[in-house]
Formats: sequence, structure tokens, C-alpha cells
Amino acid sequence: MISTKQKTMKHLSFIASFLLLSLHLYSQVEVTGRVTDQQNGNALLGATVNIEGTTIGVITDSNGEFSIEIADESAVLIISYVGYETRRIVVGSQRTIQVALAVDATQLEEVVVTALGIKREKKKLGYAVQDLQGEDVAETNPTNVVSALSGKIAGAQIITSSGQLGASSTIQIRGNKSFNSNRQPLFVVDGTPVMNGISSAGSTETYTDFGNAAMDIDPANIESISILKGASASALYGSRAANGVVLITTKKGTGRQGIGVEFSTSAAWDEVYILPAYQNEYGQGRNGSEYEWQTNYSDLTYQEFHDAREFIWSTDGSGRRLDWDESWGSRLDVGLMVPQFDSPLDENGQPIPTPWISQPDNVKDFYETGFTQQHNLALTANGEVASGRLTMGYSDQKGTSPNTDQTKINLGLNSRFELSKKLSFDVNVNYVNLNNDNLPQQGNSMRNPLLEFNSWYGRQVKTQSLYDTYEDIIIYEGKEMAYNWMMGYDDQHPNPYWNAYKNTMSRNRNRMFGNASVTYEIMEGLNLMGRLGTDFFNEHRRFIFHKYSRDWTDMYKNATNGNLWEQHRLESETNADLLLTLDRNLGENLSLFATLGGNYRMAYDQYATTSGKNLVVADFFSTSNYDGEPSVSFTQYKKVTNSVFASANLGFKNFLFLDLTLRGDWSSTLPKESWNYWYPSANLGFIFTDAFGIDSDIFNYGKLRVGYAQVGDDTSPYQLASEYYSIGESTFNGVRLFGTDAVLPTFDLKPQLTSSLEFGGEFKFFQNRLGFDITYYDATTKNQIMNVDIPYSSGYAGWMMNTGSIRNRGVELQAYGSIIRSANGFNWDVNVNWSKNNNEIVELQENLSELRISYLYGLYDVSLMAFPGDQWGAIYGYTMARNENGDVLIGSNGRPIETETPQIIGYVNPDWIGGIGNTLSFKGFSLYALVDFRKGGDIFSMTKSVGQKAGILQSTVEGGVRETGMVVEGVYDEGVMKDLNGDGTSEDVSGLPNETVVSARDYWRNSRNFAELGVVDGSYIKLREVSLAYRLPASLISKIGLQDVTVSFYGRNLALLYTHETNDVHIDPEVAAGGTVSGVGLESYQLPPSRTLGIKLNVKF
Amino acid sequence: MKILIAVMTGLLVLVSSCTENFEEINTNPNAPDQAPMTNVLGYVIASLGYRFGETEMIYPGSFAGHITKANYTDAVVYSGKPSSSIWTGCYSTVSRNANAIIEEAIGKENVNMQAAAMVLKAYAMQMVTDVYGPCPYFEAGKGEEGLIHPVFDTEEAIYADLFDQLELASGLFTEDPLGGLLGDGDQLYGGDIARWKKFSNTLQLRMAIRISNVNPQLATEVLSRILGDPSAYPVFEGNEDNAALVFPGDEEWMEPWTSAFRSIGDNRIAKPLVDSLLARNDPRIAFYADTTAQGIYDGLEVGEEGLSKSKPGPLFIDNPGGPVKFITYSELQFIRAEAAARGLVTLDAQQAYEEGIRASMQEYGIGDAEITAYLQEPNVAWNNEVEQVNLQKWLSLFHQSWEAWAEMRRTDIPRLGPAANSEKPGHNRPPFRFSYPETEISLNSANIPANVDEEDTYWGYQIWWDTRTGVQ
Repeated sequence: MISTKQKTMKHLSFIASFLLLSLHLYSQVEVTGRVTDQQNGNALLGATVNIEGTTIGVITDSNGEFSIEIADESAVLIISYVGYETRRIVVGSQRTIQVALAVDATQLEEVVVTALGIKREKKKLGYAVQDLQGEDVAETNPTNVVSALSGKIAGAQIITSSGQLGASSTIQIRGNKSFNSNRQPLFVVDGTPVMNGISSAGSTETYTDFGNAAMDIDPANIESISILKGASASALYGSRAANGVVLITTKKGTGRQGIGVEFSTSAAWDEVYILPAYQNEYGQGRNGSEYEWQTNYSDLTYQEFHDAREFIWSTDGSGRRLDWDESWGSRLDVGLMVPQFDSPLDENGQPIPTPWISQPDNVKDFYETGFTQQHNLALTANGEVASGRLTMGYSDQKGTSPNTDQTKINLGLNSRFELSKKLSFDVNVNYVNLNNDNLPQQGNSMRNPLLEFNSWYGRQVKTQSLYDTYEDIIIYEGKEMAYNWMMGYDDQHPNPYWNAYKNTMSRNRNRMFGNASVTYEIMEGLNLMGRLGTDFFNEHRRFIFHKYSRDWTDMYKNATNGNLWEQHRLESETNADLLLTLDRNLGENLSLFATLGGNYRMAYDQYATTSGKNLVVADFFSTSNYDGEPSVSFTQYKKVTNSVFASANLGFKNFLFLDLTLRGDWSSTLPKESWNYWYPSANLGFIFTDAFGIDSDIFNYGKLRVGYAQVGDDTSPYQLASEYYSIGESTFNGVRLFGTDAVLPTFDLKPQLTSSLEFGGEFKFFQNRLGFDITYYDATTKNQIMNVDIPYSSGYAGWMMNTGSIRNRGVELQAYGSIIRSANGFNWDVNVNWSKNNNEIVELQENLSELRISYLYGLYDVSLMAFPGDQWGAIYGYTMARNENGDVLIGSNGRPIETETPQIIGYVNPDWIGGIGNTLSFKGFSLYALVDFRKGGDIFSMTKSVGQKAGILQSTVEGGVRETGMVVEGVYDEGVMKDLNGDGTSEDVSGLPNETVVSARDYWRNSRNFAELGVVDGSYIKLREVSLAYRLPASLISKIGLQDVTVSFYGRNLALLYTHETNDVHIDPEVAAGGTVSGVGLESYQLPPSRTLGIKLNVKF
Repeated sequence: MKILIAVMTGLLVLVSSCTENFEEINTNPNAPDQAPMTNVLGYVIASLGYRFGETEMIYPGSFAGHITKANYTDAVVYSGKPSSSIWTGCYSTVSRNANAIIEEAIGKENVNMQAAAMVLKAYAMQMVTDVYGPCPYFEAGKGEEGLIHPVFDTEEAIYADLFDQLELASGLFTEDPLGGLLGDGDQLYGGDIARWKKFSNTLQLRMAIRISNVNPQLATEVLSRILGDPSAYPVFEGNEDNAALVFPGDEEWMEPWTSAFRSIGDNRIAKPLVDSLLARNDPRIAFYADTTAQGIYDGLEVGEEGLSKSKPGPLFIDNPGGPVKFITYSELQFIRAEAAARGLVTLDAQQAYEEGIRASMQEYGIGDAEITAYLQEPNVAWNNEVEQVNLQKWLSLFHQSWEAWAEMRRTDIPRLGPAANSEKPGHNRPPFRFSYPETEISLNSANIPANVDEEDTYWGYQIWWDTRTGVQ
């Protein structure tokens, strides 16, 4: 123990010496040498040479050479290299040492973590698993582990709800299998499920994205991630694995003797890098274009026209009013002088006209440079009995939106105790504190500044002026009001700075997750493991709303003195597992690996919410200050599932493997007759290269896989009975109102079932330098449990029932190649993934010709639909009528005719997605770049649809239409009469090309009914991640007792390299409105995405 | 193997025995499966009074030439489809909950509760058929019996049954304590059964006058039966009997016009109403409308833009705790006046006409002197013309737009054209109806009547009682 203590002291002194940058010099004998591969004699770059019993070590250079100073000849060198057997060499009198390392056969077998946390050799699996190492996700220091998977997983589509701090990211594996909102894979950390709920991304109440709960997992602490994509891989996790499983294994203390310290620190800067394409030619106003002037008022000068037509000034003498919130006003930058909201006042208090000029960067000016610092410290210890890893992380983030922030503290302990050869236990505990003083608000809400910026914010508005005055309260039309660029519209158009600083949403979450397990070896190869895991958090959310706020949202209509909304949430999930595993050879050629287990799972959530109508003392935010009775609600949800499962993996001669599983679930959410359901899977893996003895220099590994599996699924709690619901949160003159449930329950619900067939192959060439993994899958989900729309005349809005079946077929391809491996140490590695999913609604409930998955945009009837025989997620809305030739039909007013019925105007599913990662390394340098891309996948963009109506987008001035007017391309509709000859009589012009000139305003203001004009193709190519790392030479750092020092520069979301031409609004196609079904395919005033640039220092000793 | 078998058996026994409290776990702790009838009655009344949102103000309000939109004019120029909230609300909120009350009230022998729910349901279903024409009625609201796709019934058949239902309800109402109480949920009459009975009878009169052109026989029968026997058929006797719901005025239950105005605030008083009031020196203008910045009453042409025009009066757009009228005493008087003037019943038409005007003015606290003066105005003074009655009825039905629009379609008074800047050219009157909601068309397509031209969104069918000719 004393020696351990001394070691600790020594380590501490090294920490100190590093931090103080003072060098400890060790003297004495120098030994040089070279490390090579025993088989081919090639030099090994980066092999570690350590002096046993010390922390002194060096790393070989590109020639495999090293030089190390030893204290005396009794020193022993430990030479190690990943994938090779470690060698121990007594120096003695040698001064030059040649070491040839042999390939470690055991390490060549790639090990992956599979269901239930069981490590399996990848070659023995009959299904596709994709795994990533910790550094693959932590390379560019992400704050959300889900968004860090972008472009790295074949067959997984990652969608981020916004580009702002704390945003939720969702992951969807192998297409949409369900009409329900829960399509997220299951997240499992060290064998225990953790919650990854997404809440309130765009809810009517809060309009705040509180992120996805898996973002609490610290990416710096991840050892590896395995993605189980198909039903085969996930049969053992039951219902919730129907959408795949993301298995995360955290770093452990094992593997290295003694004590280790790892420290990293980073700083990163964010800046907004994608904003809509605003026009900068015309300012705010009603109808002031040059076309309008020239057509109707050419006898006036433009200034006279403007003064006479454009502005209606308040009669109260305040001189502050611009009574039109759209951007159909007068031309900017042509010398007009206009009294504006920030004009200086004359002696009578009237504004003095100032130049009417464009402010092209007025939206960009609102955003600030974000800054993130992250620090992580990990201590590992590994002794005879116990080993452990303690991690501490701290991050502090300031968002690009003014006054938004996030701090996070992570603490984790991963420990293992081996009490005897037979008995061991593991304890793994994580604590996370997540705090936001203010989160960005989003969606179709006045609290989202983009609603203003993208629709109603004049292009002449100077943002600095708004900042300077946002706290000013003035008297306007006899009413006290917050000063603004537009004083009309009493309850609308808040100053963005007012919302940023005054109407804030804070959140504080304390979370614990982890598990404890005991493993007992009953006999050789037979182990019994018991594990109890839990994940729970408490979260407090608080929204404050100041007096004088402009917001017409229902909840705050009466809040003249301000308002307060608070919510306390408790969410929890507990899992208990009992697992028996048997690993034994049944004779010379046959091996068996079997498991038998049971699981108990309970999920319990509760939400307590308080809100009021108004406050008594203005802007004092306490529940004691509510004016009148506050609204209080308390709701809770509980669900229990019991399961048993068994699996067997039979191996024949190490090249043929058969995997069989069976699981039975008992779910509390289903009726008694069907609450128990069973589902099996079978997979076969055949390594034909081993079977037929193929092992050439060109082709050295080939495996074929085939599998069939089913996964059952249940539903949410409390769906089986009809209830009375309390209507709203308040009473009606003191009477609490109750109404019956609008959803008709079905009493014979059956479990949902996904059946899937999967084929695949894995091929490696040129001694593993080139490899492919290709998978084809075909999965059908039937008996979907969902709330089906039924005609309201039935008395109900919906019917909870089993309906419909969806089929997803697709191909996933992963490839890697070591393009260059040069003797001088220059290496180039490429990783590619690509996937394509075809989705088909096979059938719906009989009598059902269509199913509305969600409303994308209620007001204008744009919906997300499912039609039998078509793909999931058709965007459906009224649009421009066309004749059989596809020509747009034009009415007598020169504008398109609207269709009588909604039409399909797009599909939300991408055609294909993928990513390409490149790593270049030379000596200590390593350069990594990831590009990801998506082809297709339509989006209905509110920014585009409303921004066009409001005249704020570039598309509304394109082609000089505000100077000349425009002629919409199309032909006249039936019955349209025009006087073509100018003889005063009209003739039928139907079918002739449209020649009627309309003003840009007339066309675009009426364009919102044509939903197709709001649709953009979501194709993109993005430069997702770049990092440049430099690992300091071992010869340098070993002198100060360090093992590894790496400095890296990194960037995330660096550039949007390509977007489709229909995306003329220039939205980020990747950003959708939240993680729920209703958010897919809808862009709703997206918060602008940020580009991140950072620097990181990583030290190990 | 023994261990395997033991563990497996143990697990199976364990998990399958752990299901015994599943039903308890899956019982919703957040919502009861029973609720007092009075609290459900309160919901039916409140939601019917709220008229399921701002639909009333925008659609029938502008069709009737009462109120329009000055900035976002899409809806008033018939762009797109009409809101479906009246359909969805009347079926899935009013009817479903009224059915639940009726069923329970019969079981508990609370005849007053049963009758009140029947009256409210009849009120809602008359609104639906007046707005849409043929609609599901006899098979409607029976989802729990497996009737997911109810057939559509004709207005004629629906009206016939609505008379029966109201007749039945009127007969059920009893002031005998054994008849049961309505409780706090009765936000219309505070549990006063006598006034509920008047409401029910007065509603029959509204229906009778509506069908008086298309089925004069039945109309006359109902009018004479009810107006001829006040003791058996009590009707409203003054404004105190008005069926009006006063809103609490909080953010959740705010008077619907005020609530709607607070969201966008571009609603303006319409030109036809303002001009008619000005032409008669009508003192109600001071309540219906606000003056412009120039200090005048200036109505906005429906379909035009113009935020500087007169706003509706603060009584209607800045009155969160204001009332919504279901049916009033003044309407009863106009029904009586019309019936008399047309010779359907024998009574004093002039007296009813003047009482109708008086009652309407008294709702705003206008004094007798002003009322008397108004009654002398040249185009107000009784001239023995039915048209006068209908015009005064239209003036009095401000803020009861569904009724105002229905009566305008029946009488063609006032005679208005479609909105300026109409998106649907080729018409000479405001809309005849709403087209069926998209959900009904797609989910109950087999039952959509063939004689309704759904493509002509607002005009494709004249409601049964709309006997106007030459209109399109």
C-alpha cells in the first residue's frame, strides 16, 4: 500500500510539474531501439516503450525508432502496441534494442457489445452491428451524443430540432416504422436503459426545446457505441428496441495497471452561419413598390408618393407608428427620407426623417458569438481486487442567442470488485446537473425572435436601435407600452431583446443513472448475474413573463402585470435483470453460448405544474403573487413490463454461427387477454473464407449473414378505458368543467408486431485494408396501435385501435479503406456509409383511405399523411390547380387558381443519406474531416411560406418584379374572359397563356394558400466535422513523466456545401421542428444553426 | 441443466404472477371515469357559448355584413375552406357530452337535467344543419355503438325531429323537486327550470319561422300552438329571460369576440351594418362601433383592407367577461311580428315589432326617450312591412352572427353581395353554406350527399329553407 501511496504522490507531483510547466529532468543511460512487426518487418509507429514500475515512457517514431533514458541496467522496458502482444525486455548491458512484436491473435477478433451488455466477437453475430469508438464521437467535442452520430451510422437519420444551444437531436434507424411519435431507438448505458425523452419542442404551452434526455451522457466518457439496427439485434431488449438500440459502454478502470490520470480542457466559439435569404431592396410598408408608384402615381415623385401613401401616423402626437407589418413598402437605398422609430425628435416631439436604407445584417447582428468551455478529469485505478474510473466534467456554454446559456456538471464512477475468482460486482453511478438560466424559445410563437425576423421585421430596422431602447416604456395612444420598431398591433411584434432578457425559460435538472450488478460463477462457463439499474431525474422549469410584454398567446392575454409558469418533473425508470449465461464447448467443433434471463421494468413519471392568470405586484415572480386562484395540475404515468428471454448461439468450427432468441413480455398497458406476447428471432452467420480456407493477400475475410426476427410492442398507459377529463386548467365561474374523452377506446387491443428479414455480408481485402459491410433488410410492422381519426359526426375525434401495416426495405453500406499506409508514416483512411430506405404503407384499417399523421400547419391545412400503397409522410395541402398538361391555371385576376382538394406536394423521407470520413495522419499529426449528405426529403417551410407572403424574402424581389410587376406562368382557366383586341368586348381566353400583369405584392400576399410554394427539397451536403490533432513526441513529454499530450483544433457544422434549388429561402434542411412526428418535414421559423470552432488539450499520465 | 430449468421455472412463475396488479397500474390516476352531470352540463354550455373559437366572428359575421377583417382578409374573401370548428364542436363536444348526460340523467331520473341536455343538443344540431344542410343526425354521436360512419339526413327530417325533441324536453321540465336539479353547471339560468322551459319553447319558434317558407303548414302549427297557449307553452317575457352566457373573463374562458380580437386585432365593423345604423340614426351604433381617428363611424367594406376604419365597440372586443346570447326576447318579438304580418298567427304585429326594437335597445341600456324617438324615424316607423321586421331583426342580431346569417339567407334582407376581392367570383350573394370539413369528406366519403356541390365551396347548395331564387 505504501508503494501505491508513493505512486500517487509521484503522480500528483507530475500533475503539478505539468501545470507549472517546470521540467523534471532525469539523467543517465540512453537506450535506443527499433520496434517492428514480426511477420513482415515493417516499422511500427507509435508503439509505447515504458520503463516498468515508472511512468516514464516514449513512443516510437515513423521509423519505429525510439530513444529512452534509463536509471540503471536493471531497468525493464515494456513494449506495447495495439493489436500486438506486449513484450518485456530486460535492458542489461544493451544500448540498442531491436524488438519484433507478434500479432496478438486474441485481439484481432473484433469484439462488440451486444444486447444486455454482453461482449461478443463480431464475427459470431448473424446480424448487422455498427460500432464506433469513443474518439469517433468525441473527436470534435460535441455536447449532445446523438448529434455527434450524424453522418457516422449507415441507416440512421439524425435530425436536430434547432441550431441552438440545448437543442434536441433525434435518431431514426431504418425508416419510419410507426405512425406514433415514439420512433426513437432505445439508449442503453453499460447494460441499463436510460431515458431519452424529448419534451416540448414546440408545444403550445412553452415553445421551448428542452433537449433529448440522452444529452446528459458525457461524450468524453464513452468507450464505445454499438448500434443494433434491426429487430434481430434487439429482440432481447423487447418492445422498446423495435426502433433499434444504441448501446453505450463507458470507459472503465481496467486494462492498465496502477493509477492513471487523464485531463482535457477545451474552448470553442460558435457563430450563426445559416440565415434565410432576405431581400434588401424594399422596406416595411403596405404597397410602396416602384411598380405601384409608376403604374398609378407616376405624376408624383417617389418621395411624394411615399409620404402620401405609405405611412399612417398616430394622431396622438407620439409620431411613432408604422401601421403595416409586412415588407411591401417603399424602395430602400434610393434616397427616401422617412421618419422612423429611431429617428431623432424635433422640438415638438415629432420624428425627423432619416434615410430609408437597408440593414442587410440586421438579423445577424442580433446574434452573438457563443462560447463553450469544457473540462474533464478522469482518474483510473486498477488494483488486485478493485478497479475504478472516476470522472468529473464541467462545461459552460453561452449561446449565440442573447442571454442563453447552459452549464453541466458530470460526475461518474465506474468500478469493479473482484472478490474472488468466482464472485465479482460492478457499480456504475453517474450524476448530472444541467442548468440553463434561459433556453432559446422556438416554433410558431412570438417568443421566437425568428418569427419576427423571418416575417415581420422590416429590412430597414436597425437592430442596435432596438437594443438601445428595449427597456423603454412609453405612452402610446394613451397606453403605456414597451417601445418598439412598430407600435401598432398592441399585442404583437415583441422587441426581440425584450423577450431575450425579460421573458425567460430556465431549467435545472438533477439526474442519477447507473446500475449495480453481481456476477457469480456457478461453475466453469456458467455465470449468474443480477443487476439493478435506475435512471431518474428531477427537473424544474420556470417561465417568467414581464409586464408590458407583447404576446397574444392565450395563456398570457390577461397578464398585464406579468405571469409565471412553473413545472416540476420527476421521471424515472427502473430495471431489474437476472441473467444466466452458459459458455461451453460441446465437443471439438461445436460451441454454445446461451443466456436465460428475466427483466422487470417500471417507468414512472410525474409532472406538477402551476400557472396563474396574472400577477398582483408587477414583475415579482412568485406563486404567492398570483392574482386570484392559480391553475395547478399534477399528473402521473406508470407502466410495468415483465419479461423473460432466452438465447442460444451455436458455433460450428468457428465459421458457422446460429443465434436463436425468444422473448415473452407482460405489459400493463394492454388488456388482460393480450398483455402477454412472445416473439422469436433466428440468425445465421457463415464465415465462408474460414470454411473454405480462403486467405489470399487480396481477399482475406468474407462472411454472409441471414436473419429473421420479430419484436412486439405495447402502448402508453391508460388507453383502454374512456374517461372524463377536466377541461382546461381553470374553472368557469367557479365550476370545474368535465368532458368525456374524445377518443373512443377499443377493448381488444393487440400488441404491435414488427417482423423483419435481413441479409448481409462482410468482406475484407488486402489484409483488412479494405472492407465492406452491406445489409439488406425488409421489415413490416403491423397491428399498429394508434389513435385513428374517425369522422366527428360519430361523436368522437379518434379511435384507439390496431391498424395498418408499414413496410420498410432498405440497403445499408459501410466501407472503409486504408488508402495509403506509407513507410514514412503517412496514412490515409476513409470511412464511408450510405443507406437507402423505401417505405410503404401496406394497408390501413378497412374503410380508411387515408390517415393524418399530424398537422404540419393547422391554419392552412397542410398535413402529414399516410395513404395505402404510398410512402409514410406525404405532405398534403391545397395548392395551384393545373390542367392535364401540368400548366398552372390562372384566374381573371392574373393569379393562380387554388385546387379544390388537397394534393400531395412532397414526401418527407430522404431518398438516401450517407457520410464520408477521411483521416490523414503523418507523424504526430492527424487530420479528420467528415462530410455528410442527404438526397431528397421534402420540408414544408413556414419561413418560406410566411416570409413570401410578408415580402421579406429574396424570392419576392427576384427578377425586378417590384419594379415591373410579374406575369405568372400558366394558362387562363376555363371561363376567363379578357378583352384581347382592346375593342371593349371580352372573349373567352381559357387555355391561352397568361398575360395579365400583377404586382409582386398581389401575387405573393396570396401565395400562402399554395402550399407547394412553401415546400423545399431537403437535400444537402455538409462539412460536418474537421479536426486537426497533434500528438506531442513521446521523447519530449516522457521527460516530464507524461504519457500522451494531444492538442487539437476542431470545427463542427463548418459549411453547408450544397442545397437544392428549391431551397431558395436558404433554411438549414437538416433542422426540423422538433423530435416528434409532428415535427418531421416541418420547418417552423428554425433557430439559426451555429458553426463551432474550438481547441482542445488532452493530457494523460 | 438442472440449474437452467430451476432458473427458468422460477422466472416464469415470478413474472406471470406479477401481473395481478396490472389493471390497477393501468387505471388512469389523472382522470376519473365518472363526473357529476352538472360539471359536464357546464362544459356543454360553455363550449356552445364559446362557439368553438373565433369562427362566428369571421365567417357568418362577415357574410351577414356585420363585421370583417382589415388586414388578414383571407377568410372573408373565401380563400380556402371555412373553419370546421362548428361541425367538430357540435358533434364531438356538445352532442357527445349531451348524450352522456342524457343517458345518465335517465338512469338517475333527473328529468330536468335530461331535458336541459336535450335543448342544448337541439340548439347545436339546428346550427349545424343551418350551416351545412344535410348532415348526420339520427346515427350521429353513436361511435361507442360501433356507428363510425353515420349516414347523412335531410334538413327536413332533422327539423322534424328537433321539434319533437324540444316538445319532449318542454314536457319534461318540472319545478317539482323530484324532477332533479341542474346544479352549479347551469351557467345559463342558475338552475331556474321555468326559464329553461321558456328557452325550449322560444327555440321552437325560431325553428318554425325558419321553415315558414318551405313548410308553412308545420310552421303555422308550431307558431299557433306555442303562441296560442302561454300557460302550456311559456315563452320569454322580457330580457331577463334571455338565454345568455356570461363569461368569467379569464384567459381560458374569455368572451369569444374579445378573445379573437386580442389575437390579431384586425377586426373592423362592416360597412353594411354601419350604413344601415347611420341611415336610421340608430343609437346602437355607439355600442356596436367605435369611431375612427377622424371621430366618425366608418364601416369597412367586407373584403377590403383598411385598419383605419371603425373598430367594433369595446363592449364587443374589449370585454372579456361579456355575454354571448343564445336567443333573446327581442328575437321572439321579431318572430311574433313576422308571423303576424304574414298572417300566420293573429296578433298585433306593430306592437311586437316595436317591442322587439325596444328590447334590443334595452339590452344596451338605451333610454325610453331615445327609443321612442327612434321608433319615429322615417325608415323605422311601422309600415306594416315584413321587410322592416327582418331588417330590424338583422340589426338586433349583431354578435349572434350564425342566426343573422341564417335569417339573411331565408329573407334576402338585407340584400348583400359577395365580398369585394372575392377569391370565388361568379356569385351575387354572400355564401349559402359551409362546405363539409375535410375530415368528414375523407373519412365518411360514402355518405356525403350527391346533391351537394362540394366543389363550389361556399355556394354549392341552398339549405332546404333557403327558398330564394335567382341567387348564385
